[in-house]
Amino acid sequence: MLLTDFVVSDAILPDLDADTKDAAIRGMVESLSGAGRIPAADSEGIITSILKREELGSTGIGNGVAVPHTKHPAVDQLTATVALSNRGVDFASLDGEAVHILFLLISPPDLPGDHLRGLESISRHLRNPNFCNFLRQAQSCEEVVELLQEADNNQLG
Amino acid sequence: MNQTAQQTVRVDLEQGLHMVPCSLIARTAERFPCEIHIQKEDRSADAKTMLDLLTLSAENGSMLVLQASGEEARAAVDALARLFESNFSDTDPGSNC
Repeated sequence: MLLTDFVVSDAILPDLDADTKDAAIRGMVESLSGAGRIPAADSEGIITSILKREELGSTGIGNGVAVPHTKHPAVDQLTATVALSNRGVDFASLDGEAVHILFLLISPPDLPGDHLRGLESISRHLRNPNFCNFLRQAQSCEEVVELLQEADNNQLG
Repeated sequence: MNQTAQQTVRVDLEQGLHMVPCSLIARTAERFPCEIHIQKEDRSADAKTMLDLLTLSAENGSMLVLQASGEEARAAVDALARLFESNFSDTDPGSNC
């Protein structure tokens, strides 16, 4: 599965203005709502659901990366956005480090396979140090989209 | 004493091997000094690394091979196999995760 298949370009936040996990998740969900990819009426429910998932264990999986996610009937296909934080977000990550790269993923409840393939795609690319380093240096939506395309095309080494 | 151990397990989770069970695998694997890998067909993941485990994309019904090598290899494979055999029952929260 390609990143550009499910990351909503118009909802990318290259300079996330948030210090806390709650604010980061809220900002990303509202960005997806603003881009028209989730109904505004479902935003609060989705935020609550993602925060509830975080209570089971942080999705800050180390190396400055977090993948907050949920399954929710408001979407009928895998829907994601990317946010970058220069100063870092306290995500209670497994390694205790602040998070600088966030992929927020919302999956339809009846498509668990797509959810796994989305996570697979995100994690496979995040294992590539070039992808993470370039992503952290990106300054605009366009630069992030370009990197996602390069990652999809395996152009990042 | 150096050992090697291997066991095949089945993913019996409706939602597949999503992030919560992967996290439990990594936490369990980290308790052991040996190298532990989980193989699915031609893919192999370091069992102590979340990003690696998530790349397995193991759906319900997938067969995985647990492989350990080094000190406490048998105990490590046994501990991980127990997670699969119990369907991660104490930790799998169900449908929305």
